[in-house]
Amino acid sequence: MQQNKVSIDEDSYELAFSYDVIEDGETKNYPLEKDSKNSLFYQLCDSQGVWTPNTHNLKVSGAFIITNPIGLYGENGIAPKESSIGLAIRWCSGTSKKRGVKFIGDINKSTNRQEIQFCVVFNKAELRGSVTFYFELFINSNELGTQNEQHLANTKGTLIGEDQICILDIDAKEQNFPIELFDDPDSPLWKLYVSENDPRFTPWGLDAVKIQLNKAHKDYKYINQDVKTKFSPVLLREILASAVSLYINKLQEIAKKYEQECQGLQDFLNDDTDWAPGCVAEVVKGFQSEPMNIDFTSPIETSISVHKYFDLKLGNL
Amino acid sequence: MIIQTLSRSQSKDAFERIQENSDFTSIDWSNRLDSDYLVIINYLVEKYFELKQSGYKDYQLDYRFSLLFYDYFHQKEWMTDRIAADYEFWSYFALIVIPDLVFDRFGADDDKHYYAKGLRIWPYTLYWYTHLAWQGNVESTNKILSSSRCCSDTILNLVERPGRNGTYISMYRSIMFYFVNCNPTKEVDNIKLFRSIMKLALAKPLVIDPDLCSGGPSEYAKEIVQECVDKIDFTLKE
Repeated sequence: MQQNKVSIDEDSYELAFSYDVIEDGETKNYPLEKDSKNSLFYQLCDSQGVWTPNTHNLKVSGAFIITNPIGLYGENGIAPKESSIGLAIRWCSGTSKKRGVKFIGDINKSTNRQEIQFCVVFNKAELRGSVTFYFELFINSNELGTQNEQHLANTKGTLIGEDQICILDIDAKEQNFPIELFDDPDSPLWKLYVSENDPRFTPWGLDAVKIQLNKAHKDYKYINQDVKTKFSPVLLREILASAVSLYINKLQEIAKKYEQECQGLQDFLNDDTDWAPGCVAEVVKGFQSEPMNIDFTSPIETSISVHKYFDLKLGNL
Repeated sequence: MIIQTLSRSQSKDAFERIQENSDFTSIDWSNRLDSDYLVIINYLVEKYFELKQSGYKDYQLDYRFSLLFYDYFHQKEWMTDRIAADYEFWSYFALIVIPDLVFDRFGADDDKHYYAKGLRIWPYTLYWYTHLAWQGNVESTNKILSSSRCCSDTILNLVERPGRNGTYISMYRSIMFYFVNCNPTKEVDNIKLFRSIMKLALAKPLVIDPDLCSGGPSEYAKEIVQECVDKIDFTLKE
């Protein structure tokens, strides 16, 4: 008789990310949106513009559906028949110099279908860089097994299977528009750097454009979110909006340098046939659509639409 | 407290300036740093030179200063795990906040102690050596770090083996406890013993997870130490 196949279904659940905020003495949980480059690699985005890895906790939750677990046990399985197989979530972060495991439940061999839910909570400012999540099957008993099961692992804690769930890039949010800090007491609070190279062939990133914030400036504390008592969200919004408006206006000038016949940036961005993938022009073209909706028709319209966008995106900071 | 960092290129420039001119007495510290950092400097400089004047050097100086350094910082509200793992923060510390102490300890020939090799930036090493050996309080940790089994090589093997996938911090702390308290039947080469323990500590979790086994990370660490003591001959050669 053919046995039904054992499966741990990863497609049937949705990983969810959220964070807590204490409001009026009550803890409220808000969702984080995941921006997925592929099915395994996630970046987080908070539509409220509140969450940062420095200031808020992070909850990662989901569930596993396990079907026909009986096939895991016995001499043709991966664990002795009388043993117990546990399921755990392991997270590893070389950039945080930390790793950890959370036991989430034993696999019940007497049911055909079992759902095990999990929630892993990280404190604020606990993680840095990227974190990789795995699920692990492990022996969760010290059952020696029968004579025919001596080839099977039987020591508690032995890993008998694992698979990667996802890689989470914790710091990606801060890199949406390239921002760099610098240290110069003689410079203003912020500057904008724009590469004069052809936007159609220049990769988007710090070498193409960056807003530079001066840590050595006496007013830097007003735009540093870590200094809660001084931080001014209005000032930070104004700087970002001014810098992006200035950038668009500078690009109008650069567009004419490379296509003397073009009628401005919007016209320059119309023909995308020869662009390098991931180039500045490709990213900037996207500024015109949702959620930014930036208007390139004139410096005044650009400034109005950029301010509207930042008011909406960072209005709750 | 404003957390300052130095990027790699900024660190390189700062290190070159130290190589060109290591006369730190001419620096106007109050112009260079804000008051929070000046308080830290005053504390660290005083403690460091107190230890030196007491005649401590090499490991004896490093572990004592590491303990003071960690005890001072881990009590600060602003010091988080995220900052402790940030090489750019420690580069700023080595090159801008206490370059005179790093220079006094290592000179300016090797850029690794300042910024070039993250795990070897001296303030990072000072913090993480005690962090990974921490036994819950200063007194208990001091008993571990002051053991005659420990030396400069212990620092290197503990701090510079974080594991590519992150560190089992609780297991490392237990390893330090059992390493210092193990009782080999003969006099052993502690450097070789500790290296073997740390290699096994990286390899074994691939098969059995310290957090999921019977007895947890502490029992796991005890078994690793005992396994190395029992099975490998580390006796000192005549």
